[in-house]
Amino acid sequence: MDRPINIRTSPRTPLSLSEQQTIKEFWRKKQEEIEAIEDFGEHTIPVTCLKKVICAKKGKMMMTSDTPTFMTKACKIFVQELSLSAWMCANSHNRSIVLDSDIAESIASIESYGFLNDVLCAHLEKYKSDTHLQSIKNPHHNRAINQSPTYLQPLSHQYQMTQFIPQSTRYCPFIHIPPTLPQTNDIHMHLPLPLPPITYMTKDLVFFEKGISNNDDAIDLVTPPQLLPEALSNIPNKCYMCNIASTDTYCVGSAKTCNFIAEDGDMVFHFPYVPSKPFQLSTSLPMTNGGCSIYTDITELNHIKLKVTHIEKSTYGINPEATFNVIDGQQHAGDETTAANHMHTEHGELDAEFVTTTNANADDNNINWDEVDMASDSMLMEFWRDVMMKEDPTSLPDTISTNDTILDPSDMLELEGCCDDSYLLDDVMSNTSNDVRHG
Amino acid sequence: MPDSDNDESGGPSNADFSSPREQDRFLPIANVSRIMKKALPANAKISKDGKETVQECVSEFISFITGEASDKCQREKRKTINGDDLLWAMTTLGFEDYVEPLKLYLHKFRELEGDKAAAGSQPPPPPSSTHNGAGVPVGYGMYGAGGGSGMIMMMGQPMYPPAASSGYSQQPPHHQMSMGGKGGAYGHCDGSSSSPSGLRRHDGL
Repeated sequence: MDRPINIRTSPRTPLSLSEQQTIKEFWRKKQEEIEAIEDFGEHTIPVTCLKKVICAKKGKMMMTSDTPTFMTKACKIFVQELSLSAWMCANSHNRSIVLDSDIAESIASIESYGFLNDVLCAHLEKYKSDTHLQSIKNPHHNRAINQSPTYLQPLSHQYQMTQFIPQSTRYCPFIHIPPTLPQTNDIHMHLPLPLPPITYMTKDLVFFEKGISNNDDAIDLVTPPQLLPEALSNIPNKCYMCNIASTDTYCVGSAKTCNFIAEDGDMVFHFPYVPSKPFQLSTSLPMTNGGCSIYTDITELNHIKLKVTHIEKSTYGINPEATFNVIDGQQHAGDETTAANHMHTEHGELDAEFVTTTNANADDNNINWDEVDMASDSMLMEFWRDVMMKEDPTSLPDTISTNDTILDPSDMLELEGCCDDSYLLDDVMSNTSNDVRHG
Repeated sequence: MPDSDNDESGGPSNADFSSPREQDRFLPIANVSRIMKKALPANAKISKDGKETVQECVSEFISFITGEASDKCQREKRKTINGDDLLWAMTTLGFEDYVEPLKLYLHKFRELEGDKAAAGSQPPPPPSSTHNGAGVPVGYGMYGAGGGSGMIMMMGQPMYPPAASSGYSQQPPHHQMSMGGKGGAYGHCDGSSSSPSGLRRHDGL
């Protein structure tokens, strides 16, 4: 009953001079505070809560970005003015604790707070259920936004290498290399291929077939049956293979004698290493030795040239050697698989001899055969180009390509014994194109 | 007297309000309390009822001002409330003392907001990628290693046969190079040996 009486008498009591001065000082401080403001980032009242209150009664409103900031400041001034007035009421009652009755009294004493009369009435009614309100009111806590950055895994060098090898393994059994110079590009795609000894022998047979087919159809029909059956029946005897090559040389014609002699010389280059293996396999010695001694004399000059060119090339592979070793582990698996398939498909009787040889001395055998094969490659390319350019002029348009333009200058270099250098350049270009393709 | 009144009203009805709506209607009481303390001396204390009353009053204040501003916008056929509308509403509703400080506040806010907008419009620099450039040399080096290693072995073999240890260390790169050379022979053989080679030749092309 005391509260209504206080409320009614408050408007009549004039404010004391000290109270009026306090209010003026309050507004002066507010003006100074706002003039000193330099940062609007910090809000004493959360903007989201403010927006919810604004939309609670009127529904959703569209407002500019300055509206929440403006209302935040207005509310702050309102709360502080109301609190200050309530504090003065509390002091007038000789209390240092501000009660809700003091706030009600200050609302009644300020004319502009007339809109709060409804709140006062509602508050009086809610006063009876104060315990219920306490349990409902909870402050709002803004959730911190956690943004986890995503890092893209960069492709490593080894990953690229792993991607490269399976492709070449998958393609090698099905790729047919056409009888043209661009075959150099395909060679480097067959990295995990059969063992050197077997493919070397096979290559000689195939090469001679194609060489003959470009010169005379009649000889082409006769030569294959003679080569294959004889090779199968006389595998242990290397001299016989040499004789076959000699026969083909004379059949082609005198114009190619020099090139074929070079080819024979290449085979001689290979023989000095083969006899050491047949000794272990108990093959016939006299014939083998005889063949070697004969052809060594004829091709003495070619040996010198090959050595000279090899010395020049050795400078290329010193630095990047370490990078190359990464792929070693995966080569062996592919190598074995392809080698086995190749043996069974092409030469049944060859299995026994070459498998035994490989198992006996893997390292030495691989080293020797690789060397012979490299020399053979350079000679084969040389011969093939001569055949295409001299015997079949009309087929030149088919073979025109970037590789041809590179190899043509080698005709001049051939006399100086530098033809192998041009082949190396060709290989480099092939490797580059392969890299781009797989990249 | 107030204490006795509080005790008497402990029991009656509790289901007048729902929780979500109640939370949205009021500002957080902690923030309101903090603002109140800033305006009062250090020795001043505020009762819980006092805080709750001010919490309700400030929410009513927000609705009062924004409601008047919204009505003004509707009369002028506008849909968006801005700071000027709020200033006008406060003047109309009898809060003249608030207008000067808030007008200054609004002016400063717009100045700073304009500066921030200008700063934010600068586009970020485009990132430069170096990974692609590095890939090519590595690939080239790999192929070069194969050829070079082969050459080294061929040079050394005729004159000085390598020892067991050096031969083993040189084996991997040399082996790689040799297999490359064998590919040609294998392809040739397939091409000339049997009829299915036609399909292989087509695949090769």
